[in-house]
Amino acid sequence: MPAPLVRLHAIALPLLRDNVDTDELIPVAENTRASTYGWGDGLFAAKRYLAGPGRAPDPDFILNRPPYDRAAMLVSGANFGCGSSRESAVWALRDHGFRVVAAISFNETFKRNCIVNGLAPLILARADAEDLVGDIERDPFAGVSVDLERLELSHGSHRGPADSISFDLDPFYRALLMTGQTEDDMLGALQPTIDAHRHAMLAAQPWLTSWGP
Amino acid sequence: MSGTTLFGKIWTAHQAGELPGGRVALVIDRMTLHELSGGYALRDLRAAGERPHMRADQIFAMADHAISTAPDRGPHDSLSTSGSQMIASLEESCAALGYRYARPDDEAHGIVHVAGPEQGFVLPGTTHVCGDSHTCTLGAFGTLAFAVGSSEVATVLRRSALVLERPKTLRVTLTGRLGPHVYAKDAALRLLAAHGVKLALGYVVEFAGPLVASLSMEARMTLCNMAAEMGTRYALIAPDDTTFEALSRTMPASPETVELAIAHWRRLRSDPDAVFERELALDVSELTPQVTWGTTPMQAVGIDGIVPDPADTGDAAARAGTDRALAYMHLEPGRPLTSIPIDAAFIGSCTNARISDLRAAAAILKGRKVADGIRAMCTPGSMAVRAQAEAEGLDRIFEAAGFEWRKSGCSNCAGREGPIWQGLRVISSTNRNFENRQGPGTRTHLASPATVAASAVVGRIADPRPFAAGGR
Repeated sequence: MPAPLVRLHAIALPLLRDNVDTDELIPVAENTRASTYGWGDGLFAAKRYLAGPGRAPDPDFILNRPPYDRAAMLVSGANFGCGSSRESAVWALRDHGFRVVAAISFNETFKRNCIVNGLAPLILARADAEDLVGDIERDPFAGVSVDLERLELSHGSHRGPADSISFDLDPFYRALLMTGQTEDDMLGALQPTIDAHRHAMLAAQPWLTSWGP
Repeated sequence: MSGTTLFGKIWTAHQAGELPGGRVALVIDRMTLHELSGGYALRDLRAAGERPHMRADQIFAMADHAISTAPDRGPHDSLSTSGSQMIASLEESCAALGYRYARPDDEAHGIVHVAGPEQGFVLPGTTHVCGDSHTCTLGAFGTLAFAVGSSEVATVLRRSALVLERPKTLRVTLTGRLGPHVYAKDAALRLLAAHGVKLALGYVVEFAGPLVASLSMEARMTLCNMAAEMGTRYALIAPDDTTFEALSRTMPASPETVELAIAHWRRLRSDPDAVFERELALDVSELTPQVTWGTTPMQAVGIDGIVPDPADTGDAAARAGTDRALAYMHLEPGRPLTSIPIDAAFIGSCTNARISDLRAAAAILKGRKVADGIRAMCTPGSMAVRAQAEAEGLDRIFEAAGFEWRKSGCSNCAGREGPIWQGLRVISSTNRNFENRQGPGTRTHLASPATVAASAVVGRIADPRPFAAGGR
């Protein structure tokens, strides 16, 4: 069960482009670990390390540069997490220490993978994402505050409540993130209803019960 | 009151309970498992001592992502040790739980979205999940089939249901006739070029119209497969006589049950007065073979086209995307597509490695050879496709032309044969041209199998149509 998330003040990693795909977040070569934990080193692996053995960090890659190496929030563009449905893309973000991904829009499967792992997928207007990234780049050390209760975030250098940015987060997902509750548990409570429905369908549609030559 | 969409009919029939925010508990009928997402879910469930709630006959498993496609592969052969472990673990879990598992040399083996339908595991009107983004391929059968992550695979095993938010509805109506050597793949790339990769974000897309009705099941699967690149997890095509004919070969039930099923499935279509939240149309009459030049599937142009100028590609974000794509692809604006030399050619993947795809490519390759220095590879989508191709002599055509003839699997759609194409330019019948997708620095151009074959022969990106007319 993911730890509840209500408020967070964190260093934010700016990655303001559209269509960041899950192959980039966790490349194929990284994608055969045995466990669902321990994926942090694989995050952005194709960009993050210099060629050759030993995984020497590429000092030019933003994730390797302080303070971004400590980021717990990522800010990006439209269609974030597109491509492969691999949940390991979210595991890599989670295990590197990320709790929040703010983007202009998300791939649906990626967004759901975030929810089950306790990462908050926040939706920003494009102009707000651009402003926020501008603020981060001017003073990355100030960090960004995120408040799921107020649906607001603000850069550490902001001058007052008027400068905060509102974001969109589905109320259902918001409740899950704030409480740590899971959809799986909700379905457990509904299991008798689900089973009744399944059995009625199987009785009415006998072709459902077998398959294959 | 207006009518109901195909999607609405399947959704409502599977709705077992309501949750806050308009969400529902949706009953899941079937699941395909592969060694990556499925393996994690099974291992975690078994480690917790849980017994899956799904019945064994609701599940079909095979190793497709990490499995080697080498002609002499063993049952657990993979490029990596961890890949072999994942394959062995999936096989072991399936044996323990009584799930049907297609061993790598069985005819039932293949890429899940290719082998599942071939083995009769995919039925109209059902809900079907797999931990793979191209699960929407199965929407070609009127199946509400969609991608989930590994945690959701575990939830479905545990609950036989998922919590879902109802997507909005989009109908894409396709009209006109495809010209010679123009395919469903070209129509999908054209839709992406015209409307972008967010075309169906938040929507379930129903492909409809006279062109769709005329397409084979295989072409319908290609179209639905590419819906994943349009931003959706849900694609649908209403089942019809073409669907029932395809299913009649694999339906195991008695003739009476099959008749009942077909009567039920005939009602699975959008009512004439159904209202969609969004509508799009494409007339394919003038469509030419399409090829991508960039690093997203929407960066496609007709084969007679040129690499675009970033200055002409819309807003600042689009220009930045184009600049980045051109830098990665080592291309300059204004260059004719057919002037671009290639290093490798690939026919494979859940998009375009079915028997009709192999036939289309072989028709071009017959009596010809791939250009000097080109590494060409064909990975049939399933062992059944491979066997059919061999029965028709297609393997000999591919091999005589200089293609490697592999076994089934996801293969180099995602660099699964290792970094053999590092830094190379590849023309590929697959679905994704992302940076590094087919290997470190690999530059991928997406196209139909016919265009891949023609390009392999010419050594540059090439138009397949002159081959059809007996040219070259």
